[in-house]
Formats: sequence, C-alpha cells, structure tokens
Amino acid sequence: MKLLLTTVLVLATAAPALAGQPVQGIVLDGSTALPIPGATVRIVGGAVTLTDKYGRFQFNDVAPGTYSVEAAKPPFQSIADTLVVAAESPPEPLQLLLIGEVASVALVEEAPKRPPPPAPGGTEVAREEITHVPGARGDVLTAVQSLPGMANVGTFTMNAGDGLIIRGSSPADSRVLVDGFEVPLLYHFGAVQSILPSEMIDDVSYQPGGFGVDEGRASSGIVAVNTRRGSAQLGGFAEVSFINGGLFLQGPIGSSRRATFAVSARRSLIDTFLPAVLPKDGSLSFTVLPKYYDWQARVDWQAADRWQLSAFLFGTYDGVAFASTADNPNDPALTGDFKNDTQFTRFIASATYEGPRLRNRLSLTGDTSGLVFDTSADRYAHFTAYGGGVRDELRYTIIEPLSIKAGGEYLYQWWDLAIKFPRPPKEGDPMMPSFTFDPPVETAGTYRVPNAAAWTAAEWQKGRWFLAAGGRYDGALYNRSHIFQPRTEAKVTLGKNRVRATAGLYTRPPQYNDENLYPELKPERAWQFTLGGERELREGLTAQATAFYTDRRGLIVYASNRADASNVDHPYVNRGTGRTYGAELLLTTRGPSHFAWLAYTLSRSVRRDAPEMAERLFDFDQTHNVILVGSYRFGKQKHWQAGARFQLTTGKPWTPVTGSVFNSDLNYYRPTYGTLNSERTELQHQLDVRIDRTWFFNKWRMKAFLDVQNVYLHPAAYAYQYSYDYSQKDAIKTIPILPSLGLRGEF
Amino acid sequence: MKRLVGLLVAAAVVSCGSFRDPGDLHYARTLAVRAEPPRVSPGQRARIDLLVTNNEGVPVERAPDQVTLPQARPGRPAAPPEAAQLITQDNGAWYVSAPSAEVLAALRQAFGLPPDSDAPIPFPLSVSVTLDGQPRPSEKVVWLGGSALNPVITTMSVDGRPMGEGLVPITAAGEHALAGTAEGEGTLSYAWYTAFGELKKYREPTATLEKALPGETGAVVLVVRNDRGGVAWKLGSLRAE
Repeated sequence: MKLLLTTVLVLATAAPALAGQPVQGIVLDGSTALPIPGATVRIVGGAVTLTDKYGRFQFNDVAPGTYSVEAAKPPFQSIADTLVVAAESPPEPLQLLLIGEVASVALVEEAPKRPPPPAPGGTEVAREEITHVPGARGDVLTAVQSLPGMANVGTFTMNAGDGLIIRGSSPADSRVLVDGFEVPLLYHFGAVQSILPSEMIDDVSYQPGGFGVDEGRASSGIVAVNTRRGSAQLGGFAEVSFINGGLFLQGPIGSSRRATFAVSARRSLIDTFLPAVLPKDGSLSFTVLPKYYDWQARVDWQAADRWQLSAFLFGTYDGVAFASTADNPNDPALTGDFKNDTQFTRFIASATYEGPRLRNRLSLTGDTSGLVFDTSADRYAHFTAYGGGVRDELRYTIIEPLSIKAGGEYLYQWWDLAIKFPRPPKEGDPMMPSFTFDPPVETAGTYRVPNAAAWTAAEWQKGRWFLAAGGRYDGALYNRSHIFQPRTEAKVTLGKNRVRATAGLYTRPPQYNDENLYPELKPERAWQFTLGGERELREGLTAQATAFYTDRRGLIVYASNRADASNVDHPYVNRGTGRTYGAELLLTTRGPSHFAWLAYTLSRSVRRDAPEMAERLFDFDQTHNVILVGSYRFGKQKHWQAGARFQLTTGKPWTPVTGSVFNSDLNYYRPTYGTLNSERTELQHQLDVRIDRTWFFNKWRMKAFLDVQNVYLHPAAYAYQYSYDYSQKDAIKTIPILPSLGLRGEF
Repeated sequence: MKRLVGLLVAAAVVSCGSFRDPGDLHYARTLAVRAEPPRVSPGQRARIDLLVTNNEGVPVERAPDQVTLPQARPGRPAAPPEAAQLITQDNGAWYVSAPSAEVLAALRQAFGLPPDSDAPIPFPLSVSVTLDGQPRPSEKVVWLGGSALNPVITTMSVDGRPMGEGLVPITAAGEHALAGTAEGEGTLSYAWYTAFGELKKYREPTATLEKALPGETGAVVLVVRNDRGGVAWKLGSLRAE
C-alpha cells in the first residue's frame, strides 16, 4: 500500500514542560480515521510518549504555556498545530490527524523500493484529497476526472456511462483494470458512483498515455485500480446518503494478524427519492426504479516473510424497468416496455513473492457477466459472458543498475449472445440508433474470444538517469491478429526538475460493442509520444507540464453508414486515421490544512474516416478544459473541511441537421446533416462544493458531508433532440443540480 | 452494447420534448405520396399524387411540382442517369413508366440485384412540392416489375359514427375514439391527423382525440400504408360542440 502519511505536529514556541494540567489526545490516520497505535508523540523540548492500541496518548503534568507537540510514525510525514495550556483547567483533547497519501494517481508501479518519478500527465494525489474532491461524492474513480487529460462527460448524461475519455480518444481505447484485470464497466448508471467504494481502493494508477510494456490492449490510457487489503485492526463504518447506503468492515483473521479481511456492500437509494422528482404526466412509469448494488470481499494472508496471498471477490448489479406510453414520432417503436439488467462478478486470486532481487506476482481470475435488455418492440439484447485468465508479472535485478521486467497473460471468454438490436452508434455518427428504421443486428450463438500477451523490458537506473526499452506482444487469437509493440522510456532528474519522455506503439483489439462479431477486423494502432517535466517551485507548490502527440491508424469505421442494410455482414473496416495532440498543465499546492490544484488541458483531436474524406473533429474534442479544485480544513481541531471545484470546458462538437426529407413509404423524416462535428455546444461550466464535519467520540466517530454538484444551477446543453420532422430543436441539458447529503459512523 | 442500452434508455426518456404534435395538420408538409399502382409491370405506368396540408390545417390532394431521380447517397446504389426517362409529365400529372424487360435487366444490374431474378426493382423517386413558400422534399419508391394494389380504407369513424361526408359533431369535452379499418396486402400501418385537439396513439388503428375546444371545426385525415409501397388516404371533418 502506497501510504505516505503526514504527521500532525503542534508547533509553537518552545517551552519547558512543568507540573500542571493533563493533556490528552488521539492520533488518527487522516485517510481512514482509524487510530494509529505506536505513534510517538512529543512535546518539543519536553516529554515523549507513545499512543496506545486505540491511538490515544496522555501527558500528565503540562505547565501552563504554549507548546509545540510532534507526533511521528514513519513513513508518516509531519504537519503542525498549536496547543495552549491554561492554568485553570485542562485543554481540550488533541485530535491529531495523520493525513495519508493512499490513492496515488500516478504511473505504474515500478520496483518496490524504487518509486518512479511522476509520469508526463500523471500525478500523485493523497487519498484524503481525492476522496474530498467536491462534486465527486467521495468517489475516487469519479474524482480522477478532475485530473488533466480527461474529458468532461458529466453525470446523468447520455455519455456518462461510456467510460473514460482520455486525451481525445474513445472510451473503447482506454482500459480500466482492477488488480490487473479489465472490468466491463466502471460506473453505475449515469456515472453517479463507480463500482468500487473508495475504502476498498488502495491506489489508482492513472496513465493517460505512454505506459509501460506490462499494460496493453489499450491505444490511449489506463486506469489501474489496486484494491486494498484489510487492516490488522478491527474497524468499519456504516454510511447513508442520497445516493446510496453502505457497510464496510475490516480486521484481522486469527490472533497472529498475518491474515486480514475486508468486506463491503452498497445499495443505491436513488429509487427511494426518484418518485418525488419524476414528472407526473403519466407517460412514464417505472416498474423497477433504477437501482444498483455492489459488493466486495477480500482476504489477505502473509503466508511467509516473502509470500503474500490474496483473494478478492467483487460484483455489481444495475437494474431498471419502465413503461412509456408516450408516442415517439422520431422512433415510433421506441415506446412501450423496457427492461435493463446489467451485472458482473469477478474473482481474483494472487500470490506475490517479494525478495531482494526478484518480485513475482501470479494472478488467476474468473468472471461472469450478463446484460439483459428487453423491449416490447421485438428488439432485445441478451448477453452472458464467462471468462477466465492468468497473469504473471516478474521483475528481476540482474546486476545493479540493470533489471528486467517480463510477464504474460492469457484471457479466455465465452460469450452467449441473443441479439436483435439496432447497431450501436459509433464515434463520428450523428444518427441515433433507430428501433424502427435501422436494419437490426440479429445473431444468436456462442463466441469464444481468446487473447494472449507477453512482454519484456530492460531497465537501467543509475544516478539521475532511468532508461527502459522493451516490447509487448498482443494476440487476438480468435481472429489471428498478432502485434508486436516496441516501447521506450527515459527519465532524468536535474536538481528540482524531473523530465520524462516516452515513445511507443499501442493497440486495442476490435472488441468494443458489436466489433467482436466481425473477425475480419484488426486491432487499432496508435503511436504515442509524450514529453513531460515537473518542478517543485517551492515547498508544497509543484508545477507539471506535459506535451503529447498520438498518431492513430486502422481505426474501425463504418464501411458506408450505420443504416445501410447492404453492409449488415461487413459493416466495419479498419480505414480511419486520427491525430491527437496537446499539452497538460498541473499546478498543485498542499499544506497541513489545505490542498488545491489547477489542471488545464489544451487538446485537439481529429479523425479522418477515409483517405479521401476531410479531417473532422473527434466527438469529444475539448480544446480547453480547466479544473480548479481546492479544499481547506479548519476549526480548532480541524473538524471542518470545505472545498469547491470549478470546471470550464469547451463545448462538445456536434453535427447540425440542415434539413430533412419525408420518406412516404416509412412515414418518417430522414435528416440531412451538415459537416460532421462542425458546431459546438455552449461553453460548459459548473461549480461544485463539499462540506465535511467530523465528530469524535470515545470509541467511534461520526462524519457528515454535503456534496453539491452544479451549485449555481447551470444546466449546460450537451446534445440536441429534434422534432419528428427535424424542423424544431431542443437542447438536452446536464442535470441542473445534484446534491448528496450523507452520514457515516466509523469505529 | 452497454453504451447502446444507456443511449436508448436516455432517448426513450428524453424524447418527449415540447415539440409540434406530428398529428397536427396546422403545419405545411406532405402527408403521403401515392403511386397508383404501387408496382408496375412492363407497359404500365404509375401516377404520382400527394396528400399535403398547409399552415391553415387544410389537407388537399395534388400533383407534385417535380419528380426526379434522387441524388446518390453514400453507401446506396444509384439509378443510372438514363433511368430518368422513365419519369414523365402528362397534363400536369407525373408518371413512372415500367421499362422494357431489357432496361429492367440493366436497372437490376445497376442496383446490384441478381440478374436472373424476376423480383420487382425498387425505383426511388425524389418528389418535391412547394407549400406556403417552402420546398418540401419527399422520397417514394415505385416498384418496377410485378403488380400490386394500394390498400383500401373501408371505414373511418369517430366514436363509432362514420366520417367521410359532411361535418360530424363531437362534444368538446372528453376523449373521442378515431377508428379506421382497411384492406390490403401485407402489413398495414396507420397514421391519423387532425386540425384541432390533441391526438394520442396517432399511429394506431384507433387513435384518441382529446382537448377539443367548443366551436372548433376541421379536418381529420387517415393514411394507411402497407409494407409493399401501397398507400391510401381518407378525409373527414369534425366539429366540436
């Protein structure tokens, strides 16, 4: 676990400890609010003591005066506070929060004892910070969208559940990994919450590009989530908010404390509140209100000094069913009954050996997932998948300063499909799928999807230099495509400056939406180049800048257009090209009572669907994306924390409808479009705020938070809908406000 | 597929915008294009007629201003330019003539159809008309080869009372059932239009008219199509009291 905990200090003018008042207090992990036993607490120039197993400490006789008190427990870092002891009565108990850096948004894990310098575009954010980003509702995987390189897709928008749009690329081009294996979805419906609670996450590695050979099958970025082992001390919490309710429990197994467990479960509560805000016109009725569950269980066992075993089981469920009685003139069949269930369960077991020169992690996984979408219009999608896989990652130091890393992965999936559905929309397609007029994709059967990968790289690290060069093989075995991808990386530290450059080939297999049905498709390719630097301007203030360029080839595009029934058998070809280039800037300041960052991304992402066609903007091109996040902890005992987040984003490209033609035989209007993505929606901006309050009791704590997204009620247009004949247009807007009020009790 | 599901759920929820009612006749547009007959064999010709409405909500039957071959669309086979000769104008009316068997074979090849097939060839037309000063383009397919008839609307009623000749009075309050029956080949689909009130289920054989105001008078239109290019329409009039 990447814990860089910060120690709370109490700073003051030095004064001798004299007979006087008792001083009591408690030392807590600021990231988890769990007590920290064995921490050293010292009155500067005076007495020293250790915290007990509950994190408590006491000095018996402290003379009146102003003191500096220090608490320390390596590798925790220090921060400060002031203690004033009056002659008349004992002071209030001290509560010393050790602010922990747990959720690391950084590059891939390097050698265990040699943490890597930050990557171009990557950064490190403390768990305490990432869980208090306003507007993210405490969700780590939502908060990462406040970092550079991520496009703003909003909450409860049509694109919110797509996935992450990193450096001007499709969600299909990036992967989300949990403990090394891909998960089929990252967020519950509307992206209101991610599928993993923050408490189950140890660190998040956000790599917008230029990642190493040990990750692949992504032509853009990687978000790798490492889950968290349970604590050796019994602890837990119960939480309820407008969004969901949850339970978390962790602790030791047995008396040796070599084994631990952590379990968690959540259920959405949106279905409780939704009836109060739904329109009462009677045209839309829910038979199953939208709801979700997720659950996690992890067991760890330190089998020997150098052997660590772990097992992790987690799953999710999202469901909704509703009936619409309203006429839908644009798509007459898209009315009536709808039912959608999505679920998946995954098991991951791993064995890790960590020696002085060798580190090896072997992981096994099994999963099952399912999707059911039924309508009353003879359109359905039933999808069940079973999968299994094995992955091994090895690092071996041959001789200082030379080491190698190598690994391999084999994944196998069975897909049972029964589909009669409109073809899914593709990037650059201005048309919405039509239940009524699109020729449906109709198939039923079992598909086997084996994928294999192997990689190796040599790394040389000496002094201020780090160089790596290697390659990765990816094989989409079901369609016999084999690709070798060379990648290289260089880092150098020059005083307070750190510079890193990467270059390499990255690919993603044709396995997005219905691409798997067409084995003639080949992986998309992307050559990525990044150059970045970081400088510590002064203590607590860091500036980071990155430039990136990606050249894309073999992009999967429509052979003609989506509605063309003559291309049902071969609707796609590897014909598209694209370029993405830009720069990212991150300015970060951190202190004992605050954190803040300014993230700015300047980007341009373009595509060409065929060699003879003109270059056009990518669907989610966002020229400017400015995010300002700040949070301040205040009050005598830092019980309060208040923060705000402001985002300003260039509008989303969209394709105007220039007219329509009435099709008399089908009785519908076929829109005619202008130049693809030639217009943009309005400038997007929103302000989110978050306020936290913590109450400490003898054996437990209570936290309350209010998190409000879009606090000044600015619903921004992110798309348009049209009347039946396309003569009228109306904006589809983001949700005007999303408040979440929550309570949590912890012990 | 997950993305598609999300989009469709969202589309189903947001599609109920505050737009003009598609069953409202008070907007100039083409309601239907009819080829009589919808399929023509060599030696025959089909007459092209329109049912249009204007901004006053008055539906009329008329001839198109222009009938041409449509512009080529990406991914769609285009008719050869000489096929334009099949479209003729005679005394203000537009016709599509079925060509000889040889020309039919050439068209079959141009459209990428099997040469040895005797299946009818879909012949797309671009039909335009100017209504209230605005061009209103339409698409219509006439089938070359084979034979077929347009459907026939047999009944059209409001609350069980037949419509078609003269004004039929209805009460302003409440809901009124607009019902139609038709005969014809293939699967039939219905579309209702009115000059006042609000229509529900306007694409069903029986639609509901509500929110009529006392004194309102206007037309009711029923258009029936089949899945073989056939179309028929019938007009009636109502008066809310």
